[in-house]
Amino acid sequence: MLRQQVVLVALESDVSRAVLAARDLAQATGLSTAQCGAIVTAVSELARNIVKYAGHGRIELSIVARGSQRGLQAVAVDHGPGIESIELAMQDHFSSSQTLGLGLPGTKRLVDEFEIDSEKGRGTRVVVRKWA
Amino acid sequence: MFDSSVPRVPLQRSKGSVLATLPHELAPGTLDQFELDLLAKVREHGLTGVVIDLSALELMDLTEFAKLKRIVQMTQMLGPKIVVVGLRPGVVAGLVALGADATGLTTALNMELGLEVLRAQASGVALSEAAELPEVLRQALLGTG
Repeated sequence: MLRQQVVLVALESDVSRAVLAARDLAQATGLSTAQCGAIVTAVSELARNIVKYAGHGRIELSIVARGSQRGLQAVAVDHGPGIESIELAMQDHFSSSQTLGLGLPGTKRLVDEFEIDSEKGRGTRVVVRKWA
Repeated sequence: MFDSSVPRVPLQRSKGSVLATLPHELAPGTLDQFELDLLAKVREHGLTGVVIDLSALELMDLTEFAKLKRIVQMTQMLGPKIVVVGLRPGVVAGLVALGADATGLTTALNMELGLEVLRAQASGVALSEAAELPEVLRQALLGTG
C-alpha cells in the first residue's frame, strides 16, 4: 500500500493533483467521509497558499500512526517570502473579502493537529494531521 | 478563451430557466469556463432563472467558493434570479470551518425546493419593488408572468 506521496506544487493544476493524492491517501488511512473531506480541503488551501504566495513548493503526504490509531499527515513546504507575523496570520479575518489572509485559521479548524513554522525570507512549513 | 481540455458544465434549458450541474470535482479552469458559458447562455436566451446544482460536488475550497460567488453575483447583475442547490453537508462543513461568507447566496436543499425559491423570488421581488419603482410595476403588469 502506498504510504507516502510528495506532490510538487507550482501551478493551479498541481493543487488538483495534491487534492487527488490527499483523497486517495485519506481513504487508505481509513478516515471517514467527513474526515476525508476536511483534511483534503485543508490540503487544497495549503497548496493554494503555496501557489499564491510562494510560487512553488511541495506537499508531502503520509499515513502516520499513533499507537493503534492511524492518521493522514500533510506537510506543506515552501521557500517563499515567509510569514512576518504568524500570530497575525492565525487571526481570523472577519472581513467581507475572501482574499484577505492565508486562510490558516480555517485550515486549522479542519484538522486535529496544526503546526506552523515560518521565517521571513526563508519560507514556511505547515504540518497538519487528521486522525481516524 | 475556449479550451477544449477544460470540462464544460452542462447547461440544460427549461422554459425561461437554466439548470447547471457541476461535476463531482472541479478541474482547473472549470469554473472560469462555466462563468463564460453561463453568462453567454443567460444573455442569448433571455433567461430569468438559474439553478446551480452542486449535489455531485465533493470538495470546495475558499478559492472555488469565491469564484462561485462571483459567478452568482455577475449573473444576478444581468437580471436572472439564481439559486444554488444540493450543497453536501461535508462541503458545507468545510466551507464554514474555513470561514466562508455566504452573504448574497441563495441556497436550497434540492432542485425542487430551489425551483420554488426561484418562483417565490420572482414574484416577491416584483411585488416589493413595485411600490417604489413604477418601472418595475409597469413591467410586472405588462410582463408575461
